[in-house]
Amino acid sequence: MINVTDLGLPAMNVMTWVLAISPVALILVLMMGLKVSGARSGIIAWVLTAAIVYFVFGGNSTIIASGTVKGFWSTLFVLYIIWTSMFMYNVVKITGAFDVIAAKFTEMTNGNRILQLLILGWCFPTFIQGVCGFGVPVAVATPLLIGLGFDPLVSCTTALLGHSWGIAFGSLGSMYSVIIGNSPIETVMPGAAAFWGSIFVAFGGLMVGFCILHLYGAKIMKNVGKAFAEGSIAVLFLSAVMGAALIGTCFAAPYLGCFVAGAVGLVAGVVVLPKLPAYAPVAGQEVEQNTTWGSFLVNFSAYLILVVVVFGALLITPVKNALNSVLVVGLAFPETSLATGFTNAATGSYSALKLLTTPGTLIIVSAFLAIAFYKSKGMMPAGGVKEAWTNTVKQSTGSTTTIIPMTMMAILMTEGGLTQYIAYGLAAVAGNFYPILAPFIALLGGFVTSSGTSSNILFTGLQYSVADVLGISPAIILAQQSASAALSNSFSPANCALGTGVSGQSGREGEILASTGMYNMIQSTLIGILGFVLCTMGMGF
Amino acid sequence: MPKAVINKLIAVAVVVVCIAVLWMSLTGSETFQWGALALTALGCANLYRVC
Repeated sequence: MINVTDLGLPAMNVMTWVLAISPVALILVLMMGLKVSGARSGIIAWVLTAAIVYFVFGGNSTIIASGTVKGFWSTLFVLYIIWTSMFMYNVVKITGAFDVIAAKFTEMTNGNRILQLLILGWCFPTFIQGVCGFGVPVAVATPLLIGLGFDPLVSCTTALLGHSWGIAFGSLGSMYSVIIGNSPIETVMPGAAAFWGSIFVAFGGLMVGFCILHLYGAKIMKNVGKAFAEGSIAVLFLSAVMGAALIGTCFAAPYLGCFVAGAVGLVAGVVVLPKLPAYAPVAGQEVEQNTTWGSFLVNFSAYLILVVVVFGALLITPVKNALNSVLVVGLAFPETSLATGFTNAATGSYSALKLLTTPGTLIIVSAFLAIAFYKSKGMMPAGGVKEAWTNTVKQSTGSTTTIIPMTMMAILMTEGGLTQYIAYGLAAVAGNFYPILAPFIALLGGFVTSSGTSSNILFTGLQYSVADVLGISPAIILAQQSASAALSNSFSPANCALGTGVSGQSGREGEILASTGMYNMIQSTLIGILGFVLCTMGMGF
Repeated sequence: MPKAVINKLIAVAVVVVCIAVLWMSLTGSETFQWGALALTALGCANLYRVC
């Protein structure tokens, strides 16, 4: 088994492990138990983390300062998305476009609210996630659902859940590329990471569909059984279609898995699903088709413009390369290390922001193009842009104050070695039951860093090494890592704050964490059981 | 603009300044770093107060 002292971390013992995980536990207790705001919880946890890094892990002022600044720098990227997507939402709202969009979706889905929630809260975010992740799917889908009349917290939670599963093969494969790059899996077992990864991620998609159904039943219908009775066929249909598209695509082009799955799911959801016998309108109760496609497209144009801008900037390689080559900004950091030797390498440009292709820029460009388009159609009232900006400032300030200390705490945990220490501690006690615990290590990484890719960066090496030592399939363990790290995006405090920010529900992050936390525990447990069964059967070699 | 929003924006701006000082301290002495960390803690305490 791997010895943490070889990595330069303190020797493994229960007390140190409990102290290492205490900032995460404190966040959960403060936000979910005591209903303390995300901002205050984050600040308290940041102070606790700094104290543990210094007094327990042998850190110094440099490592605390470096981790804190790196955390702050990482928030700028997220805050840029929140502010711009909120501005775009307010622009669309002021034009009154949501009334038309809602009417057309009602007609397309025969007035079925569950279908609307599944299509816009699951398929649409998956489609966006295929190309542009980093919170954009949540920032785009949440306001759309609210505009359709769904409860803000349900809208936000649905979008968080709905986009999460596809992250494993989303953002043009950033998570998958880490699995391939940070382990020898592709050399040892060519194709196995993509195959088993897609199987577990498709399973994750199925669970996400049922979680959304449960959420709708519990929060809106107040009758979970009825929601399952009405929506199970839709969930099974969409998860089968998207899962098959994902697995099929991953055979040839894993980097496009989420994009293809989302596109196929969106088309199947809008065109095929409402025509299934279970969702066909009862004779005499058909929804009147009053909204023309032309009117719908004009009102929906802001989001169509966004899709075109995002795809144009990120999928056309010469355009992407040209935009990525200018205005790249990153901060320099010195090497930092604990007294025990654990080291973070120096960097000349930490987490560099490519200003012209960063999601916030793509959204704000789309917003201004949409303003010009709406003005040309006479839909934008006088002073509308100023009003949209004022509303944006009011709605986005709360999530800004939450995300800053939360991310400072999270990155400081990683910089000080606490996150790695927790994971290695879990691995040390698991033995042959490691496949049960492996998804929770991925979940920890996702929770702390608010990023599936960062979770993979942190733990791909650990997961592969432990599987290798225990003689179980590394392909299955890495598939569990990918699926669970992706799903954990719905549970991370920073992502929840992003969701509450764009839904105007700042301060209610704890309620969302309570919901997504429960779903994440179930999802990771089922992924663990599936992995354990497959490993016990000797599969994955 | 509501006063609560303005107070939060000012508190965020203060934290941004503190973080800028903290980043500059990374190439400075240990005393400078502890001073910058104390300043950042004060900035965060102010943010805590207004949230």
